[in-house]
Amino acid sequence: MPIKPVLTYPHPSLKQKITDTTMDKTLLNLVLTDLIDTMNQHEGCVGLAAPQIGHAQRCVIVDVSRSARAGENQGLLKLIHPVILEASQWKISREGCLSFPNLLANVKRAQKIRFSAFNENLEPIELVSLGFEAVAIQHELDHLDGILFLDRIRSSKDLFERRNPASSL
Amino acid sequence: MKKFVAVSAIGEDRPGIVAALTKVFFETGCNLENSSMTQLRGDFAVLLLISMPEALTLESLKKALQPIVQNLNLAVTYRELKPEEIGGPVVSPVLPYTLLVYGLDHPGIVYKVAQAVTERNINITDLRTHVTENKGATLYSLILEIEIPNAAVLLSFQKDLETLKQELNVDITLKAVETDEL
Repeated sequence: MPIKPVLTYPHPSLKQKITDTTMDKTLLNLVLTDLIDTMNQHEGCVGLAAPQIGHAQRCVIVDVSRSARAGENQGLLKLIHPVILEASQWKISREGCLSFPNLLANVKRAQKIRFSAFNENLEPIELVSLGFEAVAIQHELDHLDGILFLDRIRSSKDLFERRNPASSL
Repeated sequence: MKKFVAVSAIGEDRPGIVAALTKVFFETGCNLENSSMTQLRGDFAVLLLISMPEALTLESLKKALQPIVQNLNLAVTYRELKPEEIGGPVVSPVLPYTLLVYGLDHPGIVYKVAQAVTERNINITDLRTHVTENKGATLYSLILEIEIPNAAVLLSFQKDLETLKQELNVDITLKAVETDEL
């Protein structure tokens, strides 16, 4: 099982924008498999992005059905070269991240997004996500641009030390 | 005319500190105006601005609080505000920004950032720091809310931050405070 260690800050990969545009199906599916196997090792984790496990491809996975507060969702999403097309219904919620195991932050995200990507067969897809799933996708997509959830806080009162390990994006 | 007193108190964290202090304020006719109270590891710290009824003296307030100060082993300071301080500072229009600095913990992060801020005559209105373990590394996070005098200073300050980022080997995010009009 290709389980990878999750990189934590200040690993330099986490602050780099991924510019790779590969459409190599074998490589991209290898990355997706690594992401899924690694996510499954972390209870409560609902998403991972390639740079968090040291891959430099624009791939993320999200599966909020793993969380008790999943809400409306589409199960496991494997997204290659994802792009957000529309975002609306902004709301602040508290996020964690496996790359910062002991911090939580209040982050403003859209509760409704329309996005495009390629699936594991490299077919173009276009989907709409709502609520927690939409938030998780935005968090993971940020990772592809080297943007960490801390970078999204809006005030000095938006950052918190985690007291108990909980679900992470 | 009401009098204003700034009170700070810090002691070992335990349930009941806020209730004990505010009971005295209530019973002596004081009003809790602005306040900030937070846990600092094993301690609990409060910063309060109290308005007192005219008839109450600072000495009698201190006396009323003394049993609690003693029982809870609090370190307390009091400072009566001058009339001109009560309305807060007279401020000209400023650009409110949030400045986030984070990286591996090492001495001097807050000092160097605060120095850069003050050199541009930028005012700090709030500052918080967090030290957290990040899988064997110690991460330092510093967040400031600041008031930048004008756009020219903002441009210069952004350049200062680029230099500071290299010097301190940290990540820095500076963003305008967004106000959601609902």
